[in-house]
Amino acid sequence: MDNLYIQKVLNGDYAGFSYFIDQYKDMAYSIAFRIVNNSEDAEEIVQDSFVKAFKSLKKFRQDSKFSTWFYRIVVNGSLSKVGRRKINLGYINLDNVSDVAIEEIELAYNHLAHSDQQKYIHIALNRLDIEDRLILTLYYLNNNSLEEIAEITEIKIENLKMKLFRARQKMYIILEKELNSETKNLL
Amino acid sequence: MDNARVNNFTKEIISGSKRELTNPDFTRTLMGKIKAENRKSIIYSNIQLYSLIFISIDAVIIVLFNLAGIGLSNVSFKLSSFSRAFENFYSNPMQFIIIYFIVLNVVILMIMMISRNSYSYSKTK
Repeated sequence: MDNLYIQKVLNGDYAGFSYFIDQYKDMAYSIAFRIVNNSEDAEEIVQDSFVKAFKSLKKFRQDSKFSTWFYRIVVNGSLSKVGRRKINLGYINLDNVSDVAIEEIELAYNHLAHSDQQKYIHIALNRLDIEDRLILTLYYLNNNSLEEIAEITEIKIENLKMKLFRARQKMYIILEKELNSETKNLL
Repeated sequence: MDNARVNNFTKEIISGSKRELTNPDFTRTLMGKIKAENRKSIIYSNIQLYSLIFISIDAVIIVLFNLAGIGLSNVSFKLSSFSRAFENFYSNPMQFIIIYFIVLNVVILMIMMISRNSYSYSKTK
């Protein structure tokens, strides 16, 4: 379907580009938001990325999916906005990674109200660094394959598996701490 | 806890953090920008195309007049001062013809360019 609309746009029917906007705007916004952590900036980045994609569509060689190519534009635009700085709000010790009791976290998480679940996920994701947030979003939210994530983020695929595992563990460590303090507060 | 279950749980909680654009005018505003970009690129490519045609036609005219033994050094001097060239129209008919061709050339190109721009614009509107 993407290829059909690419041809339409390349043949001069610029209105065909609205297909891509409808199709990818929300995911692009999620990606940009994960990096810049600000809704206005994220919206601006998504707009600029679509305009850039429109202008560069002729250069798109179609050897990857349009979405992969486009998300790469979004990621680069977002990283330019934050100045490629890595935000890490707290050092997370991964020595005891295997000790994270995900079952307990799942149990505690499922007992939370929906709004509280969202609150804790946002806290956990915001405490991760940009790269971890991005990898988790692409893999678990957008269902991108490791190959696609490697192309979007320009991380070597052999490092990506480990980075994904560590990002997930870091998120659970933060979530565990937050949920424990919530439980203590309730008691 | 097995990896598949961790994956499912992680997917579930990350999905809960999904963000959606709330601006109802987002697509409309963006399509306005795309439309402007589209117009800009059409005008830019037309300028390139007509500049090429213009230069080619002038080159042909220059070659033809050179072949006919008419040098352009005097003409270009005259062209730099239009009023002077105009004064010479009656005294030198060849200079008049050269200037006439160049002016005609520019006028035709401008008409073509305007009509092509409006055609391209109406086509994509």
